[in-house]
Amino acid sequence: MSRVRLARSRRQRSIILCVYPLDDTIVAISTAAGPAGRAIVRLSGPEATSLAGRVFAPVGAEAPAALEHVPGFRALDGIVRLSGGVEVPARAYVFRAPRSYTRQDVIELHVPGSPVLAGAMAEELSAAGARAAMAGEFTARAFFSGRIDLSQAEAVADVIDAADASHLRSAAAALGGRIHRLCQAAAGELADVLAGVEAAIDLADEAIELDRPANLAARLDAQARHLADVAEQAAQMPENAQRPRVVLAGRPNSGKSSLLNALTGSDRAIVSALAGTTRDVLSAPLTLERAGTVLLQDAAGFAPARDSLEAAADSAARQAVAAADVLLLIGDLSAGPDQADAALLHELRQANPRCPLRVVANKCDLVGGDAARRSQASDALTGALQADALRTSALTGEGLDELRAWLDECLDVQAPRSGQALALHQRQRRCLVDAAQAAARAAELLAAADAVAEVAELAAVELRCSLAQLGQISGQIVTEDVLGRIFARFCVGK
Amino acid sequence: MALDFDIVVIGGGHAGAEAAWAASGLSCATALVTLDASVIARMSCNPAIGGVGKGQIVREIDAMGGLMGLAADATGIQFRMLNRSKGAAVWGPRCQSDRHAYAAWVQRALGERKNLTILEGEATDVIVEDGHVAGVRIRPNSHANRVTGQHPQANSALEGGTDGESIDLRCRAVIVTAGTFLNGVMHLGERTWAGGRYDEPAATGLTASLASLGLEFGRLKTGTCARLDAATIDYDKCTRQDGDAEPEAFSFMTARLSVEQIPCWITWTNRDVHDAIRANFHRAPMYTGQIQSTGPRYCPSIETKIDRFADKDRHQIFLEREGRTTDWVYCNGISTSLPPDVQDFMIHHIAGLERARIIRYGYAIEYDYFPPTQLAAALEVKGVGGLYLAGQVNGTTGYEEAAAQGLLAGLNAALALRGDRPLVLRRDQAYIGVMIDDLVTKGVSEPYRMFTSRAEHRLSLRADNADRRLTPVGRSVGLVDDARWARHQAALEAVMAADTLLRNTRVAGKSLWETLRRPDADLAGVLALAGPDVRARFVQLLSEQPDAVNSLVIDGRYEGYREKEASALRHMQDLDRKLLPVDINYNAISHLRHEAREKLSACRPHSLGQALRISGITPADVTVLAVHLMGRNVKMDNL
Repeated sequence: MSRVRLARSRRQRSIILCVYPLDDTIVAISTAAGPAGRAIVRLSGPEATSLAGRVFAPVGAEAPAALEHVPGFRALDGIVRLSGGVEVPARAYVFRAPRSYTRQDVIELHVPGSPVLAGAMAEELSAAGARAAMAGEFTARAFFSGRIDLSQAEAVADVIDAADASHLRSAAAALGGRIHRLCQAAAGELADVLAGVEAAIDLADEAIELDRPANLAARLDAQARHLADVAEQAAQMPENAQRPRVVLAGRPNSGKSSLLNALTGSDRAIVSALAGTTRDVLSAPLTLERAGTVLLQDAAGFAPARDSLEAAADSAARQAVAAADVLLLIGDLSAGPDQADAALLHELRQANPRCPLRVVANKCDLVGGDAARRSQASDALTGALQADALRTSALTGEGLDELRAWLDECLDVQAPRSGQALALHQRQRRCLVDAAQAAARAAELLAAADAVAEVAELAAVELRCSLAQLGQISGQIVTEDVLGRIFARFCVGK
Repeated sequence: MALDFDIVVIGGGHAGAEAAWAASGLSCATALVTLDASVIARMSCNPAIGGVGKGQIVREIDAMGGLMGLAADATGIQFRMLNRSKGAAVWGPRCQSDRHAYAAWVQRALGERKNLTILEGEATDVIVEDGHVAGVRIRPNSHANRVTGQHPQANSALEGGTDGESIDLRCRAVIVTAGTFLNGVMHLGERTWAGGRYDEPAATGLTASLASLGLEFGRLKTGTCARLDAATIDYDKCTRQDGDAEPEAFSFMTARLSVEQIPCWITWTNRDVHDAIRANFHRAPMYTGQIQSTGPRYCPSIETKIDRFADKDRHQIFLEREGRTTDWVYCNGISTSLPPDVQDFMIHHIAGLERARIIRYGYAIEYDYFPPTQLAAALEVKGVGGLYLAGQVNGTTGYEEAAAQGLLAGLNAALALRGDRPLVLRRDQAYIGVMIDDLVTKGVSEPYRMFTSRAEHRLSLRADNADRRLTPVGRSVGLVDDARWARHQAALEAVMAADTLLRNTRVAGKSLWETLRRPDADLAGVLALAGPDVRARFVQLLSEQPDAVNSLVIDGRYEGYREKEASALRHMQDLDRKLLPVDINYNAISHLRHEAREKLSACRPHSLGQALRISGITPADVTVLAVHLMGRNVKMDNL
């Protein structure tokens, strides 16, 4: 990243923007799905410190009175207190602007790895005013603040795109499409009511029979309650609708990065920091035929723990491994089996015991001679590790299709995890809550009116807000759709 | 034989009239070419201007210095504010017009307009050289008095030519506003004939000329109702509908309307009529396959209404007098192309119309239009410099929609000749902006009509504040004259004084403005809280500039909801202000998806906001685009 480019980026930030707002405060759960070692909730924006202060209180003799008073960078031990009396020990990392990834105030709250807890924290923070971040938003802020350069950001845009495309698909795959269907049904009902309200405005002179406001209010109330119920139920469920993660571990120079590049078909430097990943884990999206888009992560820092367990657990790589849905141990076939590989394998199994794991014998192109010779080498690795190794070459592409197919099979089978009828991204839950509240406000307006006409333009504002929220989950209802409903129901025209 | 102009407008309907008015107002030597100058600004369907959504458009046209509002005020015979029972945000001014007086008023205004020449004839070809408009070939009418207006050589040039000989008008921009005239075909029962309106010929050459420039075209359908003789209607059997006791004008320049109003009358269809129509579906061009093209869903013929809403046993009909001195009555609600004998039966079985004389039967018309996605946001055809399309040729319906496009096309043609950047109104700025963005971004599948539900910022795009939204815009491009500007400044001063008064007067820790922030807030009640000095000052402002100050009060009442409306859209507003360079090579942006490259190349959006509204373009695509432009140091104009 050249200094020149950075300087120019910063100068231009006032004239450029992405499709997300850049100046409000966003929140997201930053750990992967599943029972990770710890969960991270990350905030970025002007209100980050004050919002974090609502749930986190530092403890200890040298603790500052408030997070706002922390200069620069600091890690603080303390307690997270949530409504309902939940209290857990936690650590807050405070990165004050501009010395943060986004150049805004960034707070990371680390708590013991309970997805329910992370969800509850994010929920409380967004209820307090933080906006649930969209995929890629932290990175977008990093780019537009000049923190990362163009090539990184362009690659990130690919990731955002993949996330967009896979968003509904993964929800459908993981949840049997239930949320999607539910939102669509609710949106259809709201659009119908909106059509009745819009007709009262736009068909002023027509002899049409408008709905009674009490009827519309009752329909909206029912939808609002339904949506609130779903959001409430979902709040009890762990997060599992996130993108599956495939984590690559291995000794230095075993070819993890080049394998990651080869698998994702990318020939550029690897992206850092997709929203939801930790600072020093490199990630890239990989689209599989059946399992959809998954995230490949290079857990480069992962190594057998030597120091205290606590220190090791702090490492981002270890968290990535703990949160992985599939683990790949990359061995260097050209270097032959190594004792370190066996230690690493053991450590991986310790860190994430139930995770599917495959040994990948990389760099097979470097093993001279014929196929038999290569087969011999990988057998040696398999024997040493007592695990079936898959032979690949990032350089020639050998074995990559097989590896993709294996990942696809693993993750496709994994996708509908049992016992969880309905689980939502925290952002989706927020959308449902907001949609329910807006629908309830529209119902309130209509219930108090003698005729739809009295409150039509105001109820329409609330209904449009509600539909916009649902649209983030199930696709937007457009004006044409509402007009279609109007003209299907009301006979008008000169 | 050739004549020189800056801009040539083809067509003299509501779009053509505004286009010619605007272009000449920006000091361009302008020609308006029409088949018949005596029917310029004719109302070919209902004799009314405005309505919900449409009325707001008329106010917007007026605020920018256009014609329509002034013409409607001068020639209206009944004025009503629609939706008066609802919130002020959705009030829609409407009037019944004297259609002859209206056309005559516009013709006089155009006839006296500096820089404008009106030529009678048929435009047959648009002449293009090197991808840019170079002229228009016309076939002048053979009768005399073919020229009105200013051009010194026009008369002699046309007189000098032999009958039937074409003349070239050299120009740098052409605005096509041909309405329903392009290859128009009328349907009345089994009978079909070529024509642009009932008794006017169609234009047959122009579609082919435009198609040869690469424009795609399609067919749309519309229709109108029978006209009756007023003297033969039994009004005792109808319900009277009067205009407002205190009529409100369209134009911000009309201080006070004093007009003797004429009532409309309401009657209804009935089962006998429905049965007769149903029994004749096999003779209805809409159902026999004689008419192939799409008509508007919101303006169906009576046969379509009876087919689609079989359970309704009556439909409302407004009997609208077409003028003070004419006997013609328009039957709003029963547009049809059924055969004359069915129309006879139908009319004569409606209460009050038993003995009505039919002056002209209802008919349908099919005509060529050019899918508007071929246009840039300035209404200029992409790939043909200087060629603008406006009005029904773009697939819209309605006088107001046509006029608004004509105004913008006229302004943009003139601005381009000046070398200025085009005027593109945003969706949060004007209904006109909503309409044009819808047209050029999404296209049409049926004739497009304005509805307030199309506007995301409905509570801000109001009839009462159109001058505050758009008069500065009209002034900056040069169409708003000094008188209008002075009136606007005076109104604005009153608004600012009233605003200061409301915000700075605090009662019990709350400003009057905050107290007002309720849709049902009572202004008198709010003022009663203030001291006598403040109250007196406010009442004075209100009496000096009642409309302007009331408009501010409406702002205040809606403020909470307007914020709500805007909060979800704030970002889109920002994106709409980011203008894209015209010469982007989307295919060279490697990170864009293939589909996105194709769609962006085809649409060539004006702004990042428009890009995001293209169907199939995702937020990620727009992010990639923004990142690309920033990375390459491309400066995006900040509107």
